[in-house]
Amino acid sequence: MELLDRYLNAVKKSLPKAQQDDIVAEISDSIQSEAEDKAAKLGRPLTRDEEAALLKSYGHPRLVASRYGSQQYLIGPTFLPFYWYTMRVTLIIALISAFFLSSMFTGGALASLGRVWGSLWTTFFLVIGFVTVVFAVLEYVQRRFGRDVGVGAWDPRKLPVSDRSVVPYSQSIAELIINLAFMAWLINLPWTRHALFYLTMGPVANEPFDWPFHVSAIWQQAILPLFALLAVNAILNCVNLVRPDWFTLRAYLHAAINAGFLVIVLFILAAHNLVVISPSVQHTVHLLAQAKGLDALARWTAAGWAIVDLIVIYCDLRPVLKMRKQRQLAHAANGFA
Amino acid sequence: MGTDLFENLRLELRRGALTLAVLAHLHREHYGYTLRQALNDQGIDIDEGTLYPLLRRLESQGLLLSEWREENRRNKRFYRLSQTGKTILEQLLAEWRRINSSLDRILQEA
Repeated sequence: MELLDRYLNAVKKSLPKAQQDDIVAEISDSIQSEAEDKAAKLGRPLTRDEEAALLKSYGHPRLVASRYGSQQYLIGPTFLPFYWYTMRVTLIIALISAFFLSSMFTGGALASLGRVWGSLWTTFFLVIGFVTVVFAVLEYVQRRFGRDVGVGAWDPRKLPVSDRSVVPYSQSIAELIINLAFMAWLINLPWTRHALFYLTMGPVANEPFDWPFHVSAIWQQAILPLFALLAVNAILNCVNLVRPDWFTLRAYLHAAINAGFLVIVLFILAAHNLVVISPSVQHTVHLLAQAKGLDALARWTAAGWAIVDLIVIYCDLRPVLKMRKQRQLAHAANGFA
Repeated sequence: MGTDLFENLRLELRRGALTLAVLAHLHREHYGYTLRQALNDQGIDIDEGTLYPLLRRLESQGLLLSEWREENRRNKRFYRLSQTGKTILEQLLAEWRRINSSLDRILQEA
């Protein structure tokens, strides 16, 4: 049976090496037995077409061989839900970060849009490839060595208390975008006499306005810590995407970051001048009055920011402290029972 | 849709039953082809692509023993239940009967 030899050769190629001869011998015997039975019933040898039909009924050689493999899938049902979740979160973070990182170093979001769009598919496939490889390795380790690689390490007591303590994806994504946009805007801030325009209008202020005012040096000193805090906040947004149920530590960290913003604002408010008249311009009474007005405006804005910060800190800490108090009361009640 | 759903559920239902049928048949020694015929004669249709990998899996789990022997001028691999296989089969049959009687009671009440 020439067709049988060709079929068995094709099956053999896809079998695990150690079992090739054994499995092929068994399949060969099975097919030959069936062919002999059919030939006996027909009272004549099988035709080439009948042989082909018989072999076809056994299935495609690669499919037949695949049934002898120990692992039939790259990522199994245990890891699949975690795989999709990680993939979704990683893609969101990677694509948003790629866009803003690019805009920080290429001068403006619009300029980077084309560049990011060009590399969008590369980023997309890189993330898919990377996450898939990581999960395929986890699956292999779990199947090969029977080790629990984290799926079993969960505790019902650590599940979120209620849906209100879970940060929605939409909120984390919006905060991440705002944070990165603010960072991109800050990093593109030129220390020129148009800095004040930049503070209100962003990159549009590149136009050579004849503007007689400067921001004072205090703003320059505040920019670096402000940028650092925004970066930490962006990292926290990413963590929120991965662990939306992260509650207590998140609240403390968020409150700490806002306390940092508050310190920076107070530092700015403590400065003698927030707006100064450009040295190249003659200091007229009219300009001095205008500078004073702008200074007051900047101070009120900073004071407003300080108040918002205080409210945010209060909102962050209130539920945590409330929960802590409830636990203490429950603990005390159990102690008395 | 309805046919696909039925087919999926049918395959799911059959999977465990096939293992039980194969183990039960291998109280007596068989090689693959005769085992398949015997199962077919009893109304259990099983294709080669399912049977042979199943036999190997059961053997690697220690439930079956196998040996190559010549019969009708060809080498054939004969399978039979191991001692562990006999014990496990008894346990599985007890479980099967328990599920069956529970299901019967449920269906009578329904």
